[in-house]
Amino acid sequence: MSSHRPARKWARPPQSRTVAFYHRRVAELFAARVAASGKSWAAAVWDGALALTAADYQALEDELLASGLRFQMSAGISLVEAPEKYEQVAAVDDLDDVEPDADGRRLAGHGDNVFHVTADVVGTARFIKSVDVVMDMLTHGVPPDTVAIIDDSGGTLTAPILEGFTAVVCKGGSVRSHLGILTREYQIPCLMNAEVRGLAEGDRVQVEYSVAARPPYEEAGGAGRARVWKLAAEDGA
Amino acid sequence: MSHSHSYTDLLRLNAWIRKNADTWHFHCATRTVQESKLFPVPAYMVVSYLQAFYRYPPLLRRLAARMSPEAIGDRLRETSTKGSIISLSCVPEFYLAGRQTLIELGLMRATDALDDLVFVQDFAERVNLAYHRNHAHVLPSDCNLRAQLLPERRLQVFEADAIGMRAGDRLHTALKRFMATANQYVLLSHCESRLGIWNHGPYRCRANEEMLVRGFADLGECDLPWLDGIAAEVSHNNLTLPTIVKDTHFHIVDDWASFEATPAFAHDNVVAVGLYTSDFLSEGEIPVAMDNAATLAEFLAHENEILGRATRELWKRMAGWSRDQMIDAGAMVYAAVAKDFFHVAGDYRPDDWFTIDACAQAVKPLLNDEYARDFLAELLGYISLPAQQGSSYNMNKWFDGQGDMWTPVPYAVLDGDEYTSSSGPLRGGWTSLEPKRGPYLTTRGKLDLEAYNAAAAGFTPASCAPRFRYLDDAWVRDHADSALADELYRLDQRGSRHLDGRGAGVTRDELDALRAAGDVAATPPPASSGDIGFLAVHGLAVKKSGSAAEVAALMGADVAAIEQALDAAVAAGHAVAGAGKHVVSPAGRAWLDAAYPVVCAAYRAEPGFAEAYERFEVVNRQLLALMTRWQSRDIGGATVANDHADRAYDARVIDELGALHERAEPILQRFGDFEARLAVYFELLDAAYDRVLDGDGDYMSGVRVPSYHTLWFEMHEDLLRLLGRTREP
Repeated sequence: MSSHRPARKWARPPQSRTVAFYHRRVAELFAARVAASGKSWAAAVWDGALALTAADYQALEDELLASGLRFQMSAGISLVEAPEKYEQVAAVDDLDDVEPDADGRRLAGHGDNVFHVTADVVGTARFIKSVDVVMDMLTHGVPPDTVAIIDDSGGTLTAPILEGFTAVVCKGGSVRSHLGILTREYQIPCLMNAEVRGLAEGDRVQVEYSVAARPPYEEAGGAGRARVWKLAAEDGA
Repeated sequence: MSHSHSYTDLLRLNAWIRKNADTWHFHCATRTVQESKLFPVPAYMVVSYLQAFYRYPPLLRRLAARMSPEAIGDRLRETSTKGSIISLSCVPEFYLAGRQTLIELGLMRATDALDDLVFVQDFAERVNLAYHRNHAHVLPSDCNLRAQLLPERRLQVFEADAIGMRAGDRLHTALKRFMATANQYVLLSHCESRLGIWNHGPYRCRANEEMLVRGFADLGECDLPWLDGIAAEVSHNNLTLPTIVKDTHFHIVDDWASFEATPAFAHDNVVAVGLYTSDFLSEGEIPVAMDNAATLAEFLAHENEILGRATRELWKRMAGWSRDQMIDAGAMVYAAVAKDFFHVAGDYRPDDWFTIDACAQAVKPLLNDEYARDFLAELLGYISLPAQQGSSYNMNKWFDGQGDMWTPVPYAVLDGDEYTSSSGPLRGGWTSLEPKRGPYLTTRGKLDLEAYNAAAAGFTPASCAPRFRYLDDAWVRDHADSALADELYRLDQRGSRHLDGRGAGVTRDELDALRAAGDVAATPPPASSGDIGFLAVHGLAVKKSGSAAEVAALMGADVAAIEQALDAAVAAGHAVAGAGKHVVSPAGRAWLDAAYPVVCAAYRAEPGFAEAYERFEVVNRQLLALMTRWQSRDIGGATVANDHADRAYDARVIDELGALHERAEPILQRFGDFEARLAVYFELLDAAYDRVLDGDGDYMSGVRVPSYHTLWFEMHEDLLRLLGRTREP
């Protein structure tokens, strides 16, 4: 196009669409501007009067967006501030395949209810997987609204802090396990033998402790299990 | 139009540029792609490169008029600040990345800003040469990824004074938590970059040990404007932690001050640690809370709280930032890797580093997430951009590709080809973030900027003063007996618990003896299952958490003896005490796990014990079912809580318990044949059963009294532990 834009031997075009577009257009624009100035490259290259401005770069973005292209996002803030510029992508969440219900809840799993309570429990899912977590909660207190997600059904791991939980969802055992017995004694709503997925630490959940208790001698699993929902994120949270 | 560079100058320059291209590619390619859900990291990286390109030349020229790059490198080596390995290695790279960005955009050529390029790269190389003079490689990557920065005089103090610990003890636990919290805090305060975290070493200590010197920079109210207020409680701006690790080889300590080890670094292998602070106003490193293990643990726990609180507050502040503010913050953190050079000289000006240059600001409309990400991937990862390519014969150092990251200077500029000298003087800039307003936390307290600069400008630590500056280990080798060597060593030994005033003659044998005296001896394994120390921790493990009296009752042992043994267990780090209760610590569990196979070898080999246990399992299942029937009832097909109003129902369950109790007796007595103390469980169960018969239903399954269920559960746990089995669901 211009002597101010030398052809590069050995070059191949950039691999990415936005890089290819911007690099071609920025170079064309600047080369044209230098040529129009009548100055040598050396005289023009650092001349502030010829430098591309934010408005010039903005015009290139407008040109690109006008072509119908939308950018892929990485940082949450980008989508929040300029949703019109970005492809709409679902949040990373493996419950994406689950349709939310009328209240925006997504079903995350089921479990056997240890005992019936009058209302479901809404709380914050916290995974009690390690001794460090338990030691930390022992030292600093169990955070309020904790729905403890526990792998182990023996009650061993959580013994010192069990009383602090708002509710328990235990991935193993049965309503007859020690943890079932202990939670019943503490009157802490509890699901045993739960299968849950798509929950992350800190998610808001609702657990259906209001269903009838699992008859202790019925086969585990099957119909009539209590449901666990992941709630929609709260505004401003 | 200055350019008077010789062929030799440009040969050296291009070799340095290629070295930087190669090491940068290695470091970028061995990390995962930098993406963050909070910060637009690639976008701010591009801005930082341009900021470095436009600002380093005028700023470093201003600095060079006050201080040589070698003097700055020496000063930074003698202290631990943001001017660390990673910052120093980034200075030349960020400038080169800005240059390459502009070349690829067609906004400059490889022959432009030639004098800027030569000046910045020369300055950066010389700072690094002086900083790394102890190992005489300009970058850790030249030393097969090893960074032995420090001379013997400093390392001896670090090693001698490092405070011994053992996995799970108070100091060990406090250190682990502190390191986790501090890492999290610094990553956040540095906009998800690692620039405030550094490591150097390793340094060989005793036969199976290496020391890694670890640290954090800019923790307190400092140059980062967003820490104003939030970091007001932080005690020290910079922390240095010489960390001695056993059975671990640090095979990588790289140009980004990160490490890798074989086997992987495990906190349990840390055997000793020290804690120091330093800055541009300190004589070397100043010990922090290093009187003993308790004071150090207490300080780390205290600081852990402060940093945890600051992290939460900072997260809230940053979560409220706009995208533009996030880009500014990240770009300023990156480009400010050279800022500490200016602190050394007492010429630190916030606007140089914490505003964004007007030319870099202009480019922001290009920097959507996708372009910034893909541009960096091509620039740093694939090396696929046009001006990076060589001929088709070219093979990159690492991956045989046709390209190299940074474009060299064509030699034809030596023979009349057009070039330009400089991109121009320092321009103004701005930021959408709040400016710095608070004080600066230093080793001389909190100072305002003027006082801080004045103090730094007037200060040179003794080790960098003319009398000592050139006395390196190569000189010490031949002059260790001299009074001057003693004086040199005493500079670092000031305030040392063990080496204060000792001079240059401390030997490896003396260090070994000091270290041996400071080692925390491992608690010996118990001799038998009747060992009171074993019973106390084992009983606590069975009980989960309890008082000495509760543990003693369960183990059939003397309360005073258990109390004493629990105190010892706390001291050894095997248990944690609080509010009259004890809990077994992770180290205590590890100790128990190691002890069981030894002290229980006899039962585990005895078929009769296993047979008794199988019979117990049958009764156990019946007991669990019975307890469930006690707590809940089936009424009309629904399971409801047993409100104990139906006395006949309860009486039937109690009768069942009586029958079960009788069936269990011979089995439980059989356990007593193998381990006499186990007989106590039947006595305790008998007592609980009596209370139930007396009408106290709580003794059936209550958790606030030693109920039948609770005792049964504990007995079961005891047996499982002795036999090395796990509980059935």
